[in-house]
Amino acid sequence: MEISCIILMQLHITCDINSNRARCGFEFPVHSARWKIDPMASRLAARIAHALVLLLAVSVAGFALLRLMPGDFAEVLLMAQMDGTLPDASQVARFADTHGLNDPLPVQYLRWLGGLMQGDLGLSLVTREPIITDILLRIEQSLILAICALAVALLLAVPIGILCAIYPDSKIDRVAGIISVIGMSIPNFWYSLLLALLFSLALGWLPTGGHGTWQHAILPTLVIATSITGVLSRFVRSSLLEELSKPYIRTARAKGGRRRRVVLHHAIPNIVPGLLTFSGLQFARIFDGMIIVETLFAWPGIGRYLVESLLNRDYPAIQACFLLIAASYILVNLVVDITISVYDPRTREIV
Amino acid sequence: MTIFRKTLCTFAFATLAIGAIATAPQKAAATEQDTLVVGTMWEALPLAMQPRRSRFFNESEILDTLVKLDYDLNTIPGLATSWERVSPTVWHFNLRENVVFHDGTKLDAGAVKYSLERVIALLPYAADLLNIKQMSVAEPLVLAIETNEPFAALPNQLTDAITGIYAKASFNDAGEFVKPVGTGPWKFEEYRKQDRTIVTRFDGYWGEKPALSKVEYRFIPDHNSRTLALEAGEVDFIDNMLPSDVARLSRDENFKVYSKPIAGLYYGAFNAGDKSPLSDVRLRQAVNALVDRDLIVKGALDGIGEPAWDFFGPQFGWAPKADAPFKLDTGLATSLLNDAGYEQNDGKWEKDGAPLTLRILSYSSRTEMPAITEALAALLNQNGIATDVQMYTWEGMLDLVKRGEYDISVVFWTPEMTGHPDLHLKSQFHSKAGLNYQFWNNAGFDEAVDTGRTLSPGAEKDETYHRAMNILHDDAPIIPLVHKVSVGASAKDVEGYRIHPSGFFYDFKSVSKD
Repeated sequence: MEISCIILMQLHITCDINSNRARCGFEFPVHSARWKIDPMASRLAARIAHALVLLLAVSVAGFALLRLMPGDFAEVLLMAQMDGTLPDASQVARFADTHGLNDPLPVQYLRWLGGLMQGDLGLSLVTREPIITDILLRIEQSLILAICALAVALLLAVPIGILCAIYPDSKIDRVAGIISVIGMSIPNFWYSLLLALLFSLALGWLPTGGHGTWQHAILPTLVIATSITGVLSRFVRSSLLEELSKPYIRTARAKGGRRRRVVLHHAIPNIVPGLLTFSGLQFARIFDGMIIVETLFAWPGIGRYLVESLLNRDYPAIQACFLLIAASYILVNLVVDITISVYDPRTREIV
Repeated sequence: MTIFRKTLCTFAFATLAIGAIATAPQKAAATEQDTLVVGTMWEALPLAMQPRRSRFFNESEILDTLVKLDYDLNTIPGLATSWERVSPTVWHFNLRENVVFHDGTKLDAGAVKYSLERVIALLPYAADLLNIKQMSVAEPLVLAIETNEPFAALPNQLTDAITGIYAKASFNDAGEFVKPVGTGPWKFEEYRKQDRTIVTRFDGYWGEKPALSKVEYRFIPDHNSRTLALEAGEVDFIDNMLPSDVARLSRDENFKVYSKPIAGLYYGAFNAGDKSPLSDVRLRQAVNALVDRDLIVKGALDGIGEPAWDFFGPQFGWAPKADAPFKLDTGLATSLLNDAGYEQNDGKWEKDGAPLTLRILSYSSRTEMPAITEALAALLNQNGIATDVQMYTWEGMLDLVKRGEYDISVVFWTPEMTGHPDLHLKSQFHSKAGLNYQFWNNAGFDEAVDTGRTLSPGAEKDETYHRAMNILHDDAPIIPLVHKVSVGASAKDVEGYRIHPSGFFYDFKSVSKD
C-alpha cells in the first residue's frame, strides 16, 4: 500500500511539473503551418500525449515493482491460490509455464500491453473472471461515492467558508472553525461506526453496509463528505481572506460597493480556479483512497480492490488498479485545467 | 447573530430532510422467514474453484464429499455409503443409490471418477492430498481407486473440502470450471459480485431436506460492521467475531452466541538447524516448559482459545497423544538451560557472556497472529530470554524461514481437519517433506509416519502414531500455543445451529427459524 501511495504522490508531482513546463512557454511550432490550428486544441493534444507517456512509465514501474517483492514470483502467486500452503517445485514449474512466467520480463510486459490495447486486462488469478468486469464495477461505485461526497462537501463548505471569511473572528467563524477541525480530524473508522449505530441500529433507517441502492450510498457519502467539508471550508475561508486583503477590494469598497456585493462579485470569482484545483485533488483522493470507509460499509470501491488484490497477490488485478488509479489522477488534473481555462480565458494560453 | 441562527435552522432543516428521505424506503431490518442470511468475512466467489481451497462449496453444502466427518471428526458416509480396502493400494467406494445432481443427472461411479479427475487437474494441491494413481469403474456404483503407495488415510483425505463431487455440468467442453453443480441440499442460485451469493433448497436431495428454503451469504468484510448488521436485524448469523463483541452479545438475550474448539493450532515452529541455538533439544524443551499458555490465551485472545499443551486438540478421541503433555515447569527449564551451558546472570540467560536471544517471526495477515507472537515474546522475556520479534507477510516470512534465518516462526495450521493424523505430521515434520523448513530430522519419527499412513485403523496404527507423538514431545521441534476456538452468533430465532469442528462446514440444512 505504501508503495502505491508513493507512486501516486510522485505521479502527482510529475503532473505538476508537466503543467509548469507548459506554463513556462513550451509550445509546438504550429504557427508556421499554412492552416491555422486552434492553439488550445494543439496544447490539449500535447497534454494528452504527456499523459500517455506518463501512464506508460507508471505501468512499467508497477510491473517491475511487483517482481521485486520477496519470494519466488510464481511460487508466491500459486501459494496465494492455495490458502498459504506451500506448493512443490513441479507444481510451481507447471504454473509458471502455463502463465508464461518463464519468459523474459520485457516479453511478459509487452504481452500484457498488447492485451490492454484490445481492452483485455486478463483474468483474475483468484476469481478466474475477466478483470475488466471487476474494474468496471469498482469504477462505477467509486465514482458514485466520489461525486456524491464531493457535491455534498462543496454545497456545505463553500457557504460556510464564505461566511467565515466575511465575518472573520466572529462567533460563527470560531464555531465553524471548530466544527471544521473536528470534521477533518475525526477518525473515519470510528465515525463510520457511530453513524451506522445511529442510522441503522437505533433508527433503522439505513442499511449498515453493502451496495446496489441509493440508501446504501448515504452513510459512506456522509462520512467522506464530513472530512472533505472540513478541509474545503478552511480552504475557502483562507483563500477568500487573502483575496479580500488585496488592493482591488479596497478600491471596490471605496467605490461604495456593499460588502456582500464585493465579496460575491469581485472576490469569489478569483478564488474559483484554486478551489477547482483543490477539489480535483480531493476528488482523486476519494476515488481511490477511502479504503477504510469502503471496507466498513462493504462498498466495492477501487481502493479496496487494490488492497485486496495486493493481499491476494492477484497480479493482473494489481496491474490494472495501478494503471487505473494513475489514469484517474492524470484525467482529473486534465479536466480541472480545462475547466479553469474555460472559466478564465486568461489561463487558456497555459493549459 | 441572525445569520448564526439562520445557519442553525438550515442545518436542522437539512438534517430533517435527510431523515425524511431516509425514512421513505423500507425499514432496514428483519430477514424473510424462510431465508437465513449469513454475514461472512470472505466473499464466497462461487464462480471459481481456486480461492481458499474452494471451501465454500463444502461449507455451504452445494457439493457433497464421498466421505463426511461427524461432530467429533470421525468419518461417516457421504456420497459413498461404505468403503473397503481390497488390497494395500486399492480401495473400493460403494456409492449411494438414487442420488441426483442439481441438473437432474444421476450420480454413478463414472461421474465421481470424472469429478475427481477434474479436481486433480484443476487444483494444484489435490494430487498431493489424494495420492491417487488411477481410478476405474468397478461396477456402476462402485469406484475403485488405486493409490501410488499403500495409503490408509484416503477416506479421510476424501473429506477435505476440495474433494467435493461436481456434476459434469460444472465444467465446459474444455474441462474448465464454470459454476458449481452438485448433489448437496442447497443449489447455487445467484452470485452478485461484492455483495452476496444465494443458494436455494434442492428438493431432490438424498438426505433429510433443509427446513429453510434459501440461504444468502452476504459479504461484510469488517468485523464491527458484521456484528452491527446482526444487531440491526439485516443478517441472521455471523462468524469470525471480535472478542469484545462475543462478550457483549453473550449478555444480550436477543442473540445466541456459539463457541467451540475446532480444528486448528497456533504453534511456534523451532529452527532445529545449525543457524539457531534451538538446534539443542534441551533449549527447545526449556522454552516449552517456560511459556504459560493460559496467559497467552487470556492476554492475546481475550480467552477465546484453548491453551495448547499438546499437538492435537484433546477433545478428539481419535487423535493420538504423547504420554505426557508439556507443562509449565521453571525448575526443569532452569536445569535444562544450565545443562546446555547457559548461566542466569541478573535474571538474563547468557552463555559465554552473550545473552540468549531468539528471533521470532510471524505474519500479520491473520488478525490474531501479532498478539499471540507478542505474548510469546513477552513471556520469554519475563523468564530471562531476550527476543527479537519481526512481523512479515506470509511470503516474506517464508523467505527467511527457508533460509533458516530464524529461531521460532509462529504459524497456524489445521492438523485435525481430515480426522487423520497423517495430514499434518507427514507434510510438515517428515524430514523429506516439502514443507519442512525447520531442519528437524528424526529417523524414528520419519519411520513412524511413513508406516502410520499404510496402516488400517487398529492397535498397530494407534501404537505407531503414539510413538510419533512421543518423539514430537521429547524432541520438541515445536511449541504448541493455542488450540483454535471458533465463535459465531445468531439472532435468537435461529434454531439448530452447531459449530462443526472441521471449520469448513456450516450444516445449515439442520437450521430452522422460529
